[in-house]
Amino acid sequence: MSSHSLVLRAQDDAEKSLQFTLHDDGRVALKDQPAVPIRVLRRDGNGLLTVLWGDTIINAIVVSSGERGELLQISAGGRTEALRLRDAAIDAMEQALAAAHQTGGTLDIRSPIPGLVKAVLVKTDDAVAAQQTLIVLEAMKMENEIIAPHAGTILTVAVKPGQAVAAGALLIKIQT
Amino acid sequence: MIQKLFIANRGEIALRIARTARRLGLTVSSAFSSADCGLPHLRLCHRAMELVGDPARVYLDSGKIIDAARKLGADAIHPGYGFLAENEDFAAAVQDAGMAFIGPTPEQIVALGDKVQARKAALAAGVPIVPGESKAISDAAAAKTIADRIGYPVLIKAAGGGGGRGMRVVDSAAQLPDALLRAQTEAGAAFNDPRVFIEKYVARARHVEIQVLGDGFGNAVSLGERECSVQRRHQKLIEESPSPALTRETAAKMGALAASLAASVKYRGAGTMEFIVPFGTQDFFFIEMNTRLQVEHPVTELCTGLDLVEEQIRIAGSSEPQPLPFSKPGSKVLDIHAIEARVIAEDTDADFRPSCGKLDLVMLPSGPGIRVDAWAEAGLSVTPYYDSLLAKVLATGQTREQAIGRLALALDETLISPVRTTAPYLAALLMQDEFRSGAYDTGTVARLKQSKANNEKEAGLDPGTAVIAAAEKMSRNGHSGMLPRGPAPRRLSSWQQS
Repeated sequence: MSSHSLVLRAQDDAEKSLQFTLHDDGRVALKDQPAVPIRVLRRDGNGLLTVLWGDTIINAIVVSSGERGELLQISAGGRTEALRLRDAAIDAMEQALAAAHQTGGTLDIRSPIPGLVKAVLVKTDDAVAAQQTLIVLEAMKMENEIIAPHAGTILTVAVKPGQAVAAGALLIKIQT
Repeated sequence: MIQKLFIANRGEIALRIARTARRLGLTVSSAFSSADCGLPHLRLCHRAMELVGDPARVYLDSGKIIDAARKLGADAIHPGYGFLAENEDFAAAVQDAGMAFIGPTPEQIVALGDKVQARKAALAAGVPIVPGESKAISDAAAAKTIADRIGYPVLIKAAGGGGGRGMRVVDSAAQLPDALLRAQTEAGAAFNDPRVFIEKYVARARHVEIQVLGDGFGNAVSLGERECSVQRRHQKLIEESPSPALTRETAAKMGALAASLAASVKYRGAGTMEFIVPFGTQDFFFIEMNTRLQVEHPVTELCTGLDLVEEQIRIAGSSEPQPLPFSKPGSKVLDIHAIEARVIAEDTDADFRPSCGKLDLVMLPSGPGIRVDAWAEAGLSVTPYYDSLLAKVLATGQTREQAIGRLALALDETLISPVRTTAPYLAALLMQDEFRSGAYDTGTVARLKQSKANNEKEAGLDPGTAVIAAAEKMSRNGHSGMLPRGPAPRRLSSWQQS
């Protein structure tokens, strides 16, 4: 279970913070709200993101915006808003979302950013625990750890050390 | 008043319905199969849920659909076309669940969807029907009596459905018993209804249909015709309006009779009366009614400026007669030619076999006079579970020539890969003299294919069939990433001649 905050930027550019908690089973609770199942219906390499939050459809365009985090243009319930996710919240959210609905299936671990694979710490058939580091990815001279959002078994390792990867590239497949 | 609409469908029609519903300010919901979670109509929905189960069957599961609509708080269900759209039990169950069914009443679906009963209703309303017998036949002796009376060739048709299944052309009495048995078996398997009937077979015919709209209280209007003779094995490929075969007087007469038939049964909502027109004549005979929105309804929307889904919602949501469009004398109808081509995931080079897989490239056309209704997007997959219609590409023009030219270019601009589609084939078909002249019939596509085969056998391609050959070569090459620049199709297109 981990806590994250979303910064909601309204039309007048005022920012509103939205607290949410990710549960290990993938449910998401907004502050003071009951947790609901959440599921990524579609995420394309071009930034398109469609999420089912309970039974509500949320559409977003994810735009990488450097140091201030990832900017999302969100439309839900007929309104479109810009939404900024601080830190790596979007990756955590997406991976948790995927994991929730991939239990008993396969889970694709994708690169959140373009970068260079520094190290691959697991191999096919390894059992991994949730939060275990799988890959170290170098981007913008920083080493970023790619972690398993869910316990499982490694099905495929799609990259090798030294390999350059694009954002959204498949890194690892996990059987959950 | 309908406020919360549930869409019981998928693909392009779900998207098309969602667009109107959103514009009308409704809350829109839908339920999707496990194969369909990426479809674009979901982006227009406020709420959604998965239909758990076999993706090939869940959209036909009336109980699951109604349950989903209830959970998502809907007060009305739009069935689209196909799936449960013409299922009277579903329509009744929707009403029993306290929601509005956007379509005719269950009784009307039964009365008009059944071909034998529809013939009787047409006869009563004074609409000409194909010579034949308006009752189901069971034994060969009865069939022979009827066939002898109306004269060979005759057509055996299924009472309970269409699409060419349960249909047999019979040239002589000797063929009759065997053909009857096979038609009954086929109809039973396809529609769970082995009833067949016999009518006169019109060897060379055009297929023209009238869009009607009824208020459910005995008022109905015709919204003009659609010419649907470009068919391959009873599947429509290209539709246009006005029909190049009919005089305006004939079209008006056909429309008035169709409207009076709809009015006579107090038809509610949008429906289509299908007619056959013997080639080269102004005669017409009613064959059947489709009690739903049709795939090709945008042709009528472009010719009238109407939104048929909006009309359907308005009529279904009211307990009082709603004013119908064009019902006042002197109402202005647009003077426009509209034409539609169906871009289907089929390999035209391999006998139109369905082509499945991930769509890596999808580039859809636009421009003056172009409308595209499509669900296809790069990144999505064409799965084997459903109808393989990817996109409907439509063009309008002030003249038929202009509309055809625009559509041909739009089909050229339609780049889809690696899944193969009918787009290049249809672009070439539009350039055929037989189509350009307007003097085509329901056998045209098959004859062009046959003449191509004969020509290839003689190893000499004539210029006309070379176009088809070039188009098939293009589709074979996968159409990937570049506009095809084969010389033959370009040479004939009107937009370059003008």
